[in-house]
Amino acid sequence: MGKSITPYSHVVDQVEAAFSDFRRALTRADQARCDTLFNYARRHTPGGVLQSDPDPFRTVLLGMLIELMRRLDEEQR
Amino acid sequence: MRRPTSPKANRRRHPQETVPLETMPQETMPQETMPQETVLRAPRRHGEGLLFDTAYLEPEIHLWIRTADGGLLHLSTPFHPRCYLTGPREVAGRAARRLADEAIAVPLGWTRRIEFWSGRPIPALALRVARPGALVERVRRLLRAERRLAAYDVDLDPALVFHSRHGLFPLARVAFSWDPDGSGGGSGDNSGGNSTGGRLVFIRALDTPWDPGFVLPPLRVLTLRLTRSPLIPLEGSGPLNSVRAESAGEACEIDPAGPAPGLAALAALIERHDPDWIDSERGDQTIFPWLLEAVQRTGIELPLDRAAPPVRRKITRRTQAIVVYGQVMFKASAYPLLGRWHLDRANSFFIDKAGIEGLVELARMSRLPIQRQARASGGTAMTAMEIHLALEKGMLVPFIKDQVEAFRPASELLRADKGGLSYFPPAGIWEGVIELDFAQQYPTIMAVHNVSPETMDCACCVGKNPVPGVAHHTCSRRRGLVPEALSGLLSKRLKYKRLLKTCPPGDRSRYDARQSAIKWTLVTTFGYQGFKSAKFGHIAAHEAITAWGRETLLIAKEVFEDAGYRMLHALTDSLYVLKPGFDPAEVARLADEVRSRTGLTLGVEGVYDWICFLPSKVRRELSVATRYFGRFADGTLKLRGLKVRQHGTPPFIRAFQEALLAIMGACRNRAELEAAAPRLRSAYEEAREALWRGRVAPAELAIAARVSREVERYKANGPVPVCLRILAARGIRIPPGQKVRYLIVNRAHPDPLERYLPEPFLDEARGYDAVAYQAMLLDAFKEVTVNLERPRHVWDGPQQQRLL
Repeated sequence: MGKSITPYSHVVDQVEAAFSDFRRALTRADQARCDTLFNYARRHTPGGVLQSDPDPFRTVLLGMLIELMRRLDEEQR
Repeated sequence: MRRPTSPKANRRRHPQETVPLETMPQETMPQETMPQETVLRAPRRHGEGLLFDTAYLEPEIHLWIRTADGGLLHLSTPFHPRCYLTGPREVAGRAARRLADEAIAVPLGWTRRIEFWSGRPIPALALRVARPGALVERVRRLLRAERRLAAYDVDLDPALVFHSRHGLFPLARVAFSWDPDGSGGGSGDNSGGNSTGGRLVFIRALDTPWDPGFVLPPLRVLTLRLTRSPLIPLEGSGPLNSVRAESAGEACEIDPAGPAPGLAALAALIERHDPDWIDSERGDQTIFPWLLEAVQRTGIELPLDRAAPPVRRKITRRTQAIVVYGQVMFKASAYPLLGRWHLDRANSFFIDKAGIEGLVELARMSRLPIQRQARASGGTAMTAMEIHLALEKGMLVPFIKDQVEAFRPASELLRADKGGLSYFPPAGIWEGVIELDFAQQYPTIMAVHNVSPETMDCACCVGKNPVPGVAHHTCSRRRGLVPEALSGLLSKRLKYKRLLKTCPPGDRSRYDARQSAIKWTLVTTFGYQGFKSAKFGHIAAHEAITAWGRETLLIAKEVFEDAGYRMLHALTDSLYVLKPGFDPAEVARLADEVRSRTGLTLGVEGVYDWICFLPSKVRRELSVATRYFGRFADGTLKLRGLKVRQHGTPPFIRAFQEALLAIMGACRNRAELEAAAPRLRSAYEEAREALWRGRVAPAELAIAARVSREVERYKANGPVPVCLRILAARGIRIPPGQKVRYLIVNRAHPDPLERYLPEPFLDEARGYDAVAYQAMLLDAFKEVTVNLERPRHVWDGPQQQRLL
């Protein structure tokens, strides 16, 4: 109701789709890493929604980085 | 009768003082002649009673009043609602003359009424409406032809306007006067033997709809049911349904093959028991159209209306498919009666949700006649309350919504329309999680922050009361109509909640039904703000509400995180936090702090012994926001989004998952859950065995699915289209919005028509597709045990052993 903008999960889908050529060139192993990174971004839907950046790739990227940071922190523990 | 209301609450809505019929206090125009001009042949009489039913039959309003001796008095009076035109004088005058020429409405003169958006009085040409039925279409044409013209109070329900004008509402205690000999509508038809008929001269309410101590009077009920599956028709060439009526232990059945004796028996039953309420299931859609046609064919008189003028009913089976939140829903045409309630349980949201108590509660608040409220939504109830408030304030009720969104840069649009916040919880089993919920978050926000269409972005308060994160503000100088209506509902619900804690056990179900009806109404108010045809809705209001919602949730998150709690999950109005060895007093203090910072009550829903957040079925690395279940410290289970909660799930699968949850619900912690894994496994084996040995009845395996279009418009061979085709071949049509229930016979069969078997032919099944059902069984099993079998949490958390 009253939804005139795309939900953030679809925004991530769109960014992912926009990079499908990039992904195609990756090796199988790197393709899996690429998919994981986009799933990392999806975990940050609340932030993406609240920020509503006109260039969504920036929030997608930040979401990926935060999850990577988390992995690093966990490794070090 | 207890009267727990504070005197203040009663004073707020005191019944209107003596208002003679046909006059309005707000206006300065010469008063019209009152209807007692007829020569009186008998002395005027006075009485008290309960306002049982109200109906408008052009040009008269008809009231049915239950008197102290149990009788029913039918009174009527001519009633002409008002409507208003605004615009340049000659434009409005010309339009009014048109309406007068066509005898639709008579101009009364210019007056001043308050304009809804600005809150200021403007000149308006008042008209006395003679034919409300013809008015709407005619005015719509006039507005289309003349852009400078605006019209108000055009499409209001005359019964609601009459109620509002005289402070009345369904089942109000009323004092009234009438002339027994007046030409009061049709006093002839006297089915119950208790009507005198007459002309109403004066009426006023003696109580208010705000009194929670109201007690529903005893009602004589007649139930009307189909004897077989509602899909089996009452006419046609195949096997037929029949209708069974029952009242006070007496019953009769009407056989469609020869309806005359059954109809006569039903007529006798109604005459003898004189029911107040015909309680039907599928009355609107199936029983009444057929019944009325049978009456026409046989010539047998059926006294459905009570003490009422004879009316001709148009017989229609027309159903309406409406889209609600993306789902096609079904709405049957209505068959209300006069002086007697006909309520169809299959065509009433509120009876379904809150029973007769809830329905009556809501009708009293909305002032809509019971039979109309029964078939209406919460949005209609809210609109009716807002219309009543507007009329009370002498405010013009807009006819065609002429507001548009102001232009905004695209970047601003991006920031505004975001909905509620929804996190992804870390999948896994967690112990000691505290759930906190904002009580009635959106309605309270509207009440606290004065969010209403006419208070949004006013010119007088620019720079004040900003809505967080979006470029809107609300007015601080006048109270909005929507918040005012909401405050009444919120405070009345609170009264019922308090009564629930203190009342004797016998009264509990009554108060619970009433507070639940109000809750359902509150739930719908928010969605209505974004609805394009809502009378008092505005998209900016919708955006402001969700913006405040996000803000309050973030404040709550910050307050708890500052105190060292870990936030696991948050979803629009609820928050899940964790802190080992937390102090309940501290949680209460933090919740209090959130209340003082947001104005919203944050309550502790409960502390979970354990809670399971589930991983996504599509992306295993992710979790889902809306599927979880857990056990509260008091032993109750809370379930969200599981198979047991879904409507389509077959009873067998549902019972199986319930059995699993019962086992898990008995476990108090993770260790006990893990120890229960073998028992869960054997419950699964048992169910699987029953399935393969063919021990499950077909009805237990029926899957329910909603029909979204006509049978011809389906192209694929999915279960729904196949079932519709099978049913159509047997003379049964299911309209869009209704459900079809079917059994999977053999999903792999080359002929699609052999794959599924729909209700009501399930007993013809010679077998079922055990492979397909085992897959569903496994799905249901995995759904609740997934966190026991996974080697570790999806994102983080302690390592777990593979258990299953």
